[in-house]
Amino acid sequence: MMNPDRIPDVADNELLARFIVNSNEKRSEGQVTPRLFMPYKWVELSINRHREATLTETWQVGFEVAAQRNKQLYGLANIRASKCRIEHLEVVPAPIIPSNPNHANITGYPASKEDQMALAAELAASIEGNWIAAPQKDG
Amino acid sequence: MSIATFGISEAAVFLEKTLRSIEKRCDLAVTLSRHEALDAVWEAWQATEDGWKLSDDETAITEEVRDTAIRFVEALPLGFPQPEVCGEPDGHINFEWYRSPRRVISVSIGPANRIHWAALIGSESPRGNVRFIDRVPDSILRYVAKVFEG
Repeated sequence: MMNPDRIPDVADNELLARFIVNSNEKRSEGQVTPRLFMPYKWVELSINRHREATLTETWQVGFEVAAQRNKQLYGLANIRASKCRIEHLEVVPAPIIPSNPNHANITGYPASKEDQMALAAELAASIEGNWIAAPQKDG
Repeated sequence: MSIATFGISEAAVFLEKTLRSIEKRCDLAVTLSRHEALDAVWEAWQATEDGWKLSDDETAITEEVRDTAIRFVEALPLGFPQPEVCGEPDGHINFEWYRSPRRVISVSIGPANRIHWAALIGSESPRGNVRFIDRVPDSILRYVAKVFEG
């Protein structure tokens, strides 16, 4: 994971993970639905940076996020930071110290629901590859 | 089968022609039973009826939203492709017509008969919000047709 004392800005070419914790956020053929990128109730959306993190560490964060929300972790979808920077959207570091220095937010969602839906559809269409199923949890 | 009965003004004739054209294009799409969509609306509502099933940041679907969603499904023209239906965390009910990541339209039914919708057709991303009375807005029908055309 990143050094909490030195959190860099999010570069355009960084790969970001969005955790899938609802079954209706994924499609059977590997794509995701726009719902994965809807920012309810806020105008920002949590995302996790792969930078300087092992896949095991990223999955660990995913399991913790799901547990906190009393949800199941189905998997994650990857998206490039540059693909998130559309219209007024920005990707900014939002480290959670000490547990998750790799946490970031997509900020700048508009308030109106239809605008959020349009952006969410664009982001869902821009994921890199297919969504990836979560590994079996040890124990 | 005719999708609606109209008057005989020029505008009415034009509208009927347009809707017939949409219906014809949609014949190419998979058409599911309207009952499936109606059942899905009831299931989405029932899933949030018991508050304990919701997480802190989720809102239950009200009977008002459920009933509006039912009227929306019933107002879809006969022969039209039926959407996928699911509840949303803000208590809305979502209808989605999907063909590929860049051929999709989502319609979100909220309180006070309010419909929010957004489509992604290639690089085009039309969107809007409108009050639902008893007819599905033509703009939504047009974009559903576009999702499946070609």
